Amino acid sequence: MKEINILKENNINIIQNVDTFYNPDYIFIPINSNCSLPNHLLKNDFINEKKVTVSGYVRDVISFKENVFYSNYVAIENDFKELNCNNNTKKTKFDYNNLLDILIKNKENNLVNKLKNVNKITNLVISAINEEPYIYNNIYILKENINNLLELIDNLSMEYKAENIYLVVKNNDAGIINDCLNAIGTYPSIKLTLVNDEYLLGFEKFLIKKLNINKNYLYLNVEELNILANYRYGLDNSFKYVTISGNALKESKVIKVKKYCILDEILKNNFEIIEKDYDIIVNGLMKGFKIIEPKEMVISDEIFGINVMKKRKYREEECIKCGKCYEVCPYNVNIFTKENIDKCINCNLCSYVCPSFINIKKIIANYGGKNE
Amino acid sequence: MSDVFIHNKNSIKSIICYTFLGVIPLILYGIYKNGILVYQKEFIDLWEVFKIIILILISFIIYYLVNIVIKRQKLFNISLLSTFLIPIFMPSRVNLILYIIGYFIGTLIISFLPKKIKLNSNALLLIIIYLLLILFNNYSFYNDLEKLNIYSFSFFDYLWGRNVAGICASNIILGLFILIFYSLFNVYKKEISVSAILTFIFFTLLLNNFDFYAILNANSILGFIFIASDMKSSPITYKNRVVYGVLIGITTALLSTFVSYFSGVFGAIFMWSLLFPLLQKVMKNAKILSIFQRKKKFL
Repeated sequence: MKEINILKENNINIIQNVDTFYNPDYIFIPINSNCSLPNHLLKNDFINEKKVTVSGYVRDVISFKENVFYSNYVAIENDFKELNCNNNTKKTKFDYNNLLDILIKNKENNLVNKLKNVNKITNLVISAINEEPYIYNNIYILKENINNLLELIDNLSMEYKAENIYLVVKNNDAGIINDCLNAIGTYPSIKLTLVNDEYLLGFEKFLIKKLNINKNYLYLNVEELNILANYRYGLDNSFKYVTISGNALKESKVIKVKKYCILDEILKNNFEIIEKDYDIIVNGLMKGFKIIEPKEMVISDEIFGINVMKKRKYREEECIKCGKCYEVCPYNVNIFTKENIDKCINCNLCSYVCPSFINIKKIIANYGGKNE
Repeated sequence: MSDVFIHNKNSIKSIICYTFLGVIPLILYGIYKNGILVYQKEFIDLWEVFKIIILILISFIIYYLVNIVIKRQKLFNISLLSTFLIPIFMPSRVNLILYIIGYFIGTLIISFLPKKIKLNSNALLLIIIYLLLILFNNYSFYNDLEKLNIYSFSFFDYLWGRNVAGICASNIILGLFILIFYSLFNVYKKEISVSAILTFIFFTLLLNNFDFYAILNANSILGFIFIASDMKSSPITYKNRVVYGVLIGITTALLSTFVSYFSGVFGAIFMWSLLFPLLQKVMKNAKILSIFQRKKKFL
């Protein structure tokens, strides 16, 4: 495997405590245009298979262009009463089938598929690595919820009769969970595995390869595990951890926010932007996209990180055919001969190393690869 | 503007800077060997000590006129490399007027070549200038001291630069150190240089009855390091780079033994930069053909 360290700026450091933003004025739930809506909604009501995260009044259907995942949203004005349609009770005993039922009831289809598709596993892999540089959600979720998560890992390993349990952390991030080492020590079956800070290890396939694991495994990242833990312990699942970092911010933080709130509100309430000229990049510097108007950016399920970076212009130049894009590609995609183009996993390492600053993912997309 | 939000340290500017940094020791050695030593014996004027600097300045002015004024390209274009790579392979007694004419014609030809034609522009430029020098009977790599032929050097002295070659291209050991320096840099096709050097040494020894002095062709060795590894005209994949280097190495051994000792390397590089894409196509078709034939047999 090609080991690539992403170059990082020393001045972008995350503060040690997770910040919170629990009281947005409005939330915006993605909807289909032909959806019928009541006047008032309760927390945990469903609209278009999305859970409402505050109770409040339905105001309008709005169209936002910034979020590439959805276009139409229903605006809900927060009544700050947190009226809940579910009465979650704290559960003390682990019941796997009950947990699956709760997941199905709450339309967590991805998790249900992941858990149901495996019968007996040898290895349980829990990854606290985020795919993108400057994004630290998983490690901070682990730090914040260590006891619940460790107990759940133990429960799952018993259920699946897993022989090896790996809790994988980047060695650069190990300092963040220093306080949690005692808790991890109380579960001797869980192996805390430190790996180098390599970009591709955030991807399931590459991490599994790095750990030399055979096919018999269940892979969950800490964010998924935390959702499971929230259902298992009857905790509130209306929050989302988002990393907001960058060299244009006074402080970079991992922040726990209400799902479907607006980025602009978070930035105004919790962050100070110290640069005049800056770019806002959503979902990471490697694979993300730039937005212009944070007022139109909804923190939906797909959003995991925001980078507020000093404006830096990379002028695209003519290709010098150095071949670096081919050299770093984990699947040897050759954009010159169009070889292996269908294997592209959109990791964007090619654009990262290109000395001519060419946006290679665009070229691959034009050739009909998976990239967009 | 590109939609790339994060980038490693590689850029065209850094490639040019690294390449120039590598060439500096050669330039200094060239000034010493073809400048100071010859000046001490009063064969040349003081300004000629710094002829290499003058050649680089001339090249830069021509590059600026053609690429920046006429073609309106950026200053840090990859073709800027030629402004200091070409002069190091010039004969020490090169006529400046002929050099200006040759460099200007060559740069013009290269700038207006269709993009589809991939060739090693530095090799072409060198060939054009050499042809012009041959045409006007000004083609000799010997400096005034070397012409006297009164010194006797050991094999190691030759390796260390007492060799007859381009104005700054006589020091093979320095060249090899520069190859190591470039290899540490992320963007350098070292496979081409290494495979070409090894093949060249092997075939030259074969062709010259294992006379080890025959491999002291500094123009060729440094040509592999600086000219053959040109990015735009050389292959992308590791395997192809090695094959490309091997082909250049063999051809250089043949050309420098039987045709031209000093400029054979550039002929070989130029030839393979043109032919290699065609060879690749032929190989690809042959592969398809063989698969097709295998399928036919199976049917």
